[in-house]
Amino acid sequence: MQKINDYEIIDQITSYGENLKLWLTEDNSGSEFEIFTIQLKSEYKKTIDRIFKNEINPFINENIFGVQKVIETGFDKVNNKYYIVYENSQEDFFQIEDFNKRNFLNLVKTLNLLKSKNRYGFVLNDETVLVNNNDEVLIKYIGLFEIFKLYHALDEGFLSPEIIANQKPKIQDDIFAIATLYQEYLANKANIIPKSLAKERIDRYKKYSELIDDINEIKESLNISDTRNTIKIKSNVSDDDFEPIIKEMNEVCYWTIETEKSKQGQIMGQFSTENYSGRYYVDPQNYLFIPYINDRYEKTIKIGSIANFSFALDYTSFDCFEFFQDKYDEKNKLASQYKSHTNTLKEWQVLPKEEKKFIEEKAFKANYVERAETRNNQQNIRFTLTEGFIDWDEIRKLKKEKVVLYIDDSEIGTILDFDSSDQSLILKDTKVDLEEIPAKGKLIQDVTQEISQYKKQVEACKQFKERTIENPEIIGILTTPEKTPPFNRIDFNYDDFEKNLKSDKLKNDESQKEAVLEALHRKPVFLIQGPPGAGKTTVIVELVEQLVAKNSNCKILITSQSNLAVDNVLERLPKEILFMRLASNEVVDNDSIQQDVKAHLFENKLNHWIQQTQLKSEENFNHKIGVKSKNKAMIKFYSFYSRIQNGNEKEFLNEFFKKLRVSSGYIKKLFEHVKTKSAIENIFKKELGTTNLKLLQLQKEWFAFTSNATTEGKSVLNNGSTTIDLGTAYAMSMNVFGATCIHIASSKYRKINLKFDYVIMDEASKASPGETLVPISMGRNIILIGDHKQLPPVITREELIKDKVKKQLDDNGLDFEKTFGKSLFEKLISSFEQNPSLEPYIKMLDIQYRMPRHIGNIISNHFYDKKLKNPNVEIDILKDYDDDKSHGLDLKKPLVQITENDILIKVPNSVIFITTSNKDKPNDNGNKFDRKNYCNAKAIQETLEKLNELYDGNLDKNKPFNIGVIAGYRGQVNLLRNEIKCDKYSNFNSKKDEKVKSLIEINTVDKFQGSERDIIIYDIVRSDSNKSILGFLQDYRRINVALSRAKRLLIIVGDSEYILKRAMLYKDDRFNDFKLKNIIKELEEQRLIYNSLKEAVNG
Amino acid sequence: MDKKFQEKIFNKFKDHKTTEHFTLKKVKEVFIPFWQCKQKIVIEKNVEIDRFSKIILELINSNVSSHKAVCDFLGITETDFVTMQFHYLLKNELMTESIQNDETIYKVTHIGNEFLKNKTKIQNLETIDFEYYYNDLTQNFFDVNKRIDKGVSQKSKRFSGYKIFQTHKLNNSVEEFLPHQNRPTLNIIKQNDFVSFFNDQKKDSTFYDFEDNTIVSHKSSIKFILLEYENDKDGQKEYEIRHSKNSVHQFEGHTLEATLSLTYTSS
Repeated sequence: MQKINDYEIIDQITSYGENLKLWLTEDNSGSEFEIFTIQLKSEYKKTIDRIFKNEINPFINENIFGVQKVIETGFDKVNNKYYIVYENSQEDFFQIEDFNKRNFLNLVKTLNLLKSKNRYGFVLNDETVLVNNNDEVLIKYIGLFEIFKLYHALDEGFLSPEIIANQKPKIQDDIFAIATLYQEYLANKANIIPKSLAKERIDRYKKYSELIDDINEIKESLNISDTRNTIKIKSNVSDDDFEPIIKEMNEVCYWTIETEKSKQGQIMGQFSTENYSGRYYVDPQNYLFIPYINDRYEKTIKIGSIANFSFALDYTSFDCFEFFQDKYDEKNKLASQYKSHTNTLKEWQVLPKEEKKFIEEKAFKANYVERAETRNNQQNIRFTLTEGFIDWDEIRKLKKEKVVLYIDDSEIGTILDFDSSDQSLILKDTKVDLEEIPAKGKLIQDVTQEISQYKKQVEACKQFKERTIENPEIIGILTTPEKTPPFNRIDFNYDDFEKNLKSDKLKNDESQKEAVLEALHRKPVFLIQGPPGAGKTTVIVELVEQLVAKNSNCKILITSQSNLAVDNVLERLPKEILFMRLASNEVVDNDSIQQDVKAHLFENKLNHWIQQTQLKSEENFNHKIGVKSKNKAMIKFYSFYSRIQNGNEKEFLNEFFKKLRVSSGYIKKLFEHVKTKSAIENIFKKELGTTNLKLLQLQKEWFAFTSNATTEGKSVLNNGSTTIDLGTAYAMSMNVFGATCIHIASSKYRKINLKFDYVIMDEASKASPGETLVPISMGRNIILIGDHKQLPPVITREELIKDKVKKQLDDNGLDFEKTFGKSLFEKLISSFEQNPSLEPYIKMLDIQYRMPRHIGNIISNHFYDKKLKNPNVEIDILKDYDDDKSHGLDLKKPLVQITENDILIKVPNSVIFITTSNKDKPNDNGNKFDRKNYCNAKAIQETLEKLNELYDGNLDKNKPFNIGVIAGYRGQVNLLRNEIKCDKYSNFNSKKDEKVKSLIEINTVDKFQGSERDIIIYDIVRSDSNKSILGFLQDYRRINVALSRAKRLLIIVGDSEYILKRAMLYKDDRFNDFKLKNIIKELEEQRLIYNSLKEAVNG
Repeated sequence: MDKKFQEKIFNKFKDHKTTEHFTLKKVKEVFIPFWQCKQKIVIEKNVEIDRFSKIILELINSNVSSHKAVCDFLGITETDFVTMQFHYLLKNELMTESIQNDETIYKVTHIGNEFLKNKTKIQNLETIDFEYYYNDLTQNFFDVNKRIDKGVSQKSKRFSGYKIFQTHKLNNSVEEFLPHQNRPTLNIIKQNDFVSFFNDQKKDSTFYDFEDNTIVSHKSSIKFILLEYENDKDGQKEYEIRHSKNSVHQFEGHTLEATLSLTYTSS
């Protein structure tokens, strides 16, 4: 055996019989791991699955002090082995040779911690309990007791009589095992041996706390018994007073060092022991000064390291000043790295903070000078507003909208009434007592909902700063990508991988295949650039399938800024993948979830599970006892009988006979002579049998249990360690969750452990850094998919905020566009592209399948440096590509010449430019806030009329063509919507269930990103009779998105003369390449510019 | 404090200590410091049989005893998420499993049957958020629904509970406060006292351990009337702390808080 799953075996460490083995391995990045393998025996499969699910998998990636960390678990089909990957402990931990109070106490404390989580019953012996040089303990094989037992691999020397007698392990058996391990050391120490190794469980310790108390009685110093250096401590209290502190310091002392010196120039930091904590100062006289100490300082315990020296009141045995000086320098070096991370995160925080502030500032506010309970109702409070308050219209609006008003952070109530004549405002059903409301203050409108998304972004930035995210390793990569270390060399076997592809679609596309394979191995951050139509969704779906196939416990988040992008992926996931869509009630109510995905919303899905479960249960039961139809009728009748049990006998019999009258003849005959309830019961017993009646009752119980799943706390599951609601457990059984980047942080899901092995973010190039950080804070590995050549993030809709943020950044010498104009995706990709050794972090999908080859060629040449290829029509399955992408029109110029693979070829023409240059008044209205062009609108109207005429049989097609009319300006979109009555074009009106729906949509570029149409009409809008700056269209990403939406035909409408001769670019803009002009020039050279569509077609 | 009200109280209590030669000097309303605390506690709970365990065990007793048969009966797949409950029953020895002809067969144990009949309970540990109040003056835990003074239990049945205010929301410039001086930490509080307080509060469970050392504590206050008496002979001061309308939810007179008064006098 050379490999276990993707891990190369370096050596076998040990074995426990033939079937259980421990290996030293390395992954493809060269990191070493221990892997424990279990040879599968078919008869044990279910048991092992159960144990993995309940006893081992809950420990994956959990850091529990004293327990070997589980990295992943799985099943290796090639070797027919289960495997558990552990953090490598080989270098630091070894078998205990020096048994002492310190390591024993550490061991018991770890077991106590586990017990407090209902975890007990471990494989505890001299090979599984290890220590390091600091006497810290490491317990191996957590959760594997039953498997060791199944395979007869338990070391009997450590087993209690109960375990030998085949009973299930309890904590008394764990205590028995560790006391056996420490038996020699514990001899003659307190009373521990008899209370640990007693023959009967009942005579052993019942709680670890009792054992800990007895261990503490052992008269032995807890100091590490080695030859550690000693540091002298001075304090401002007497030596006697300081004695208990120094005693604890010598037991376990955590310490941190600070990056700044004290005012007196001393190096300083925090220390803490079991019960004390405080500051220390390093004195040049070679000692530490510790001023008066109060209580423990929690933070130090968590982030500090254990002191590897001892402490005394009288001497220092080494140059501790130099030691701390070195540590101080080291810390500062690290700190400067962190500083650049923190600075970037601070910058990213500015915008959401300002957005939040802006909303808060805009919110209604009113100062009041008096407050009192109203006479009639103590729950209502009357506020007297300051003189001069005039905004009564706003108050009227707030009252109508039932807006909640706050004071400070306390919710007060909604408006009951107001009176401008005495400046009063009455709030009803107030949530706080009058005394808690300040005598004077400010009432503020509740904007919690509105600011929630910005709060989440700020919170995510904070988590990144504090390194409390799921995988802190990604912080450096995201904030300072230029300093990212290159990946270790990985030799990918692309041919082998091809055999394992789930979708055939990828077989002929090297870039898609490579993207998936590389994303699976390049961790923790990988970027995929997906130009239009290059198969991003195909790649994501394949990735998800591969990840789940590799690890059936894998948790994946599919996220994006938009609901549509999330749904696009979910819609295409195969049925076998367990996935759930999470969305807010507003999103569901607004119908923003795709129809096919709605069934996967949490409540719908849970209800479906309940229904299906009950249905299957009924089917199975009927099948078992009700093969004959009379049995089925009997069960049905019994089910009715069970439902009418309440009430007195008379009422019951009334109901019963009412039903009997409308029952089948067979049932009527059986019950026709009964007079009492017990007689009825006896007939059921006779006909169905007592056991079946019992089972029917149990089934009823089970249905009641499942039906309550939607009510929190009603139906609860337990696996012996964790108690969990049925509904939450159901959600947690999913592999894939789909949610927008903001919604995933909703407090609604606090019960579901939202930690993901992979966060896959689509359209990452459209999200701001703040938005991106929210979901990726929850993932161990991140795959960002996007295209920075398409639309960037929307920075802010408020110019005021923009100005404020700009000013803040300017003050710090930072550029607004650089900080916010770029998505995190673009920032990363630009950094990685600049350094060849970092290029493996990116993969570009380089074949487009959406557009006809003519359009694809234009898009590639002008926006992707010719890197985006058209599909290879030589391949058998793509040989009909041109036909599949045909618009079907009889154009005057049916073919155009393009260059593909450096060869000139002729392909079907798919682009027409309709120029307005020769029309009357081709110019736009010149209003940069509401730009409109009536001439273009008319031209588009004519074009649509012609298209309607040309596509006479459109609705007869299997899939009728649809049209997207795209304008870059909101003003023009409004004009087009007013001028063009879409339902007028009968060949583009689809009918479904008597409802007529137009196949023409008019919208902005932003609304079209991520979607496609058979025919795209792009309105340039901008036109001027004089030379002028092109403006907004200078950002060619908009043009790219607009033109690349077309699946068959692209019609551009605009004043070609203006673009070619009079339009100019801003010199200082980052987009200084006039791509639109270049494209029109190319179309002019190809003679594709016409005055109307009519001119372009034959006949 | 309203002057009329102050006078009313003054007149009511001015002669209360004349026999002990104390004269009432001052009457005022003050906020006495308390701490609202939240802490994660591991508790031991004896649990009765739950609905789902009962269904499974009774099914097995009704001869639906293989894993497949139980799952079929329930209408679930053999690896469905709800099968976690089987692990609970096996781990607690309420049933056993054996493999017969490649099938997992369950059998309810003696304990399992006892459990079914509610004759035995399962001991379970769980972590809960425990909220309580800590008295900054007396440095003890207390239940806001019970009188601080011990030995008034017969009255406490009627006691409506103290009115707790969040200190940071009170107006510093208008109200008078005694300072918060003793923030509770695990080092300060006595574990034994805490355990008995906890067990008293949570009758259905037993304290097992603190989950960690974190106590989240917020300053809170209760408003009382403070009466300052002075000894006519030696000038020694004695204080009485009594209920005002703002101290309790349902005011039943200016009840004396003996423990608080004593602690404050001796502090």
